[in-house]
Amino acid sequence: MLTVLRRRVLFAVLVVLLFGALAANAQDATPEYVDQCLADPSAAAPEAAAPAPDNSDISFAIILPNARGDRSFIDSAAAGAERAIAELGVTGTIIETNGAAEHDAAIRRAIQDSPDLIITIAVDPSTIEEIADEFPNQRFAAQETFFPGDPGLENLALFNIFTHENSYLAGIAAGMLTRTGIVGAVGGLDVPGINLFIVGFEEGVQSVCADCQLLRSYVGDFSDPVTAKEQALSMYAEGADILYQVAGRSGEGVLDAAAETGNLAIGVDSNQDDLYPGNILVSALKRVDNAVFSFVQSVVDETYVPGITNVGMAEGFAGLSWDLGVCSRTFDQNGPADLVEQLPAVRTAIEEARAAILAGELVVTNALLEPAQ
Amino acid sequence: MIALVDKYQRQLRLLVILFGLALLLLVMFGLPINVLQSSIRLATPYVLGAMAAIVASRAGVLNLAIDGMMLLGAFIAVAVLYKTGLDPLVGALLATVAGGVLGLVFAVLYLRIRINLVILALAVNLFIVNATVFFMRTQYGAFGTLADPSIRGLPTIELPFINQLPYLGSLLSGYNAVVYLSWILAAVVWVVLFRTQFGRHLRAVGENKEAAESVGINITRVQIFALTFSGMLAGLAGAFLSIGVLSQFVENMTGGRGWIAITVSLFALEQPIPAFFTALFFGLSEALSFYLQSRPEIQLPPDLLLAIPQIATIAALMIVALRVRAGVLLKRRNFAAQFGKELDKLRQGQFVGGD
Repeated sequence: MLTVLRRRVLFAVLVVLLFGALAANAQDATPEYVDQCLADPSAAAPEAAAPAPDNSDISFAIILPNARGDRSFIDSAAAGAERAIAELGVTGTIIETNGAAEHDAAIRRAIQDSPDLIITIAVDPSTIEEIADEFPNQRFAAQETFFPGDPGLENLALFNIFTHENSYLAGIAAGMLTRTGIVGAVGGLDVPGINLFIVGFEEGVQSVCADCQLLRSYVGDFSDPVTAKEQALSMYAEGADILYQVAGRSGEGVLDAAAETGNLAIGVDSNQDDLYPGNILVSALKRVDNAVFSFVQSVVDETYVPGITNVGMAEGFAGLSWDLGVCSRTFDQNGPADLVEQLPAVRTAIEEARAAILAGELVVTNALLEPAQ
Repeated sequence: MIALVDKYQRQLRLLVILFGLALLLLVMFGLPINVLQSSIRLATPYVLGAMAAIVASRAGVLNLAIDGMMLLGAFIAVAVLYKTGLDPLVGALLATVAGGVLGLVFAVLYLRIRINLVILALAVNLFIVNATVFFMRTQYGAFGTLADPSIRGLPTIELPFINQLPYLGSLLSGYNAVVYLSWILAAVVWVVLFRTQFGRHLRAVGENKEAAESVGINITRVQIFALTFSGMLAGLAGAFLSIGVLSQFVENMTGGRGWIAITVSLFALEQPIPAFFTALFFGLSEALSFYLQSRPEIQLPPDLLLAIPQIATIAALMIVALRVRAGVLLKRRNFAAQFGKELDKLRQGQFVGGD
């Protein structure tokens, strides 16, 4: 008798607890952020590779401005070329050079094989303009070269990838997650192409944290991680706790400094989240690989169009490592618990800003087109 | 100018001392401690590189291959630690040995085969840049950057007792082993050069080869030793860059620091102790340029701030040159004042002291 009563009481208590928990859950869930990557696992995984069509009679050559291994845009370009070879079944040659002195010779050497397309990465505009003019029957794609005006050549195409908008989104993450109210950016050189990132980032920070202090410094070199690390350490000592690096190979020093001091850094160009898990908040991606891939595809599809095309976040050429397609969740698993807790709110804010930018309601300063900044 | 220097000689000297004191006070109390720590870290490759340059040029060999030797040290330190789990100190040690071996090879090529010194040095520099890239690819399949969690950096060592000191504690303590070693090595180089018989021989070879040979000094042996030691110092400097500051190797990561080290040694007139402080000065001016860049209230173009080390170098070189020149002029003048009459007599064909 007693046992039955006890059971009933226990049952009643359990029921009350269960309903209570459900009600509490329902209350929590109102400002819900649906993680697209977790909600739809098929979106995260790359599509199953279809057997490559045989396009081996179509060939391209890609000339990299420096050796691979910057874990940044050069690697991204090479990855795009490798993907094109694998998925489109074309014949591709990846040529690495050792600095600007070799670009001209490398391009001319590639022309001798007369491939259907020559892609150059970050070659000086005057170099490529001269060569493209000299060989009107050779098609070129000059990615990562910035022309002040359209050169108007019938055999030259390129994408200007604008990265101010995704830098703005990274800035929102930094502005919301900074504990000290001080964030900074380390650039390679004080040039418009680098300030494009930094200005966008700073506007993003200020949009969510108006009284945040912004620091900025330039390494003066894209291949000097030792200097970059000292600059980063100096900025962390100033009280900054999140730094955005836009400094190529020098940027490794910034990431290293973040890991050493237990602060955060934001990666650039490629997905750098996994280099120091838990210390790299997010990476602002510049999808040079997509640009390279679409050039090759345009040749395969016979849709090659010369001229300059401005692309950015809307076209999928710029984004964050958290976005669909990459879905990096390294920081969620390794970051400090108090910051990881805030991530859903941060992602909601980022999605709102992204929608506003894509709808044209929010305009981020483009420092490349408005160098007055 | 000479009249001014002469007239205000004492005041001028006082002014220099006052200026130095003011600079020291400004540095110690006007700047955050982390800027000073940063400058000591930045100065370390310059200290070691400058000692390497001094040892070689005191023995009469201009070692322009210091940058290459540094780069080799940087690479070897990382290559030794890559996926071996060895202690980082082993990496630093083997980087030193590798620098020494390169110094030895350099010495043999120069002294035995008689290759032109400058061309040899440039060849070594170019060779090391490309050889490290080559091995990085063929051995490790890495492009441009060789990094791995198995490569651990040199740990920071807190000096006992010293780190308890009120201000100096945080200034003098809290670096890795190579930083402390660079201070000791600067003293060692001074002792070896100026307080040992071998050092006297080494300097004699540098001053005048023929004279040194005539008193039975084995020139070849002295120079081989000097270049090997020079290479070891440079190799250690390289290890400091790759596993002291970072824990990875990046293609051509010395960034011309070997050349700056040579400038430091020339600047200090090839004296080890002044070279040590010159290196600190270079480190300080670099750290200062980073610090000023990151201060938002300073509205100067970053390119100008990045040029602070170069501007400081030119200014300091001018001061050194003026001082040397003023010293020479003063000496001449004093000499003329003392022996002027005798000189005039000599010119007129009279014997000095004869009546």
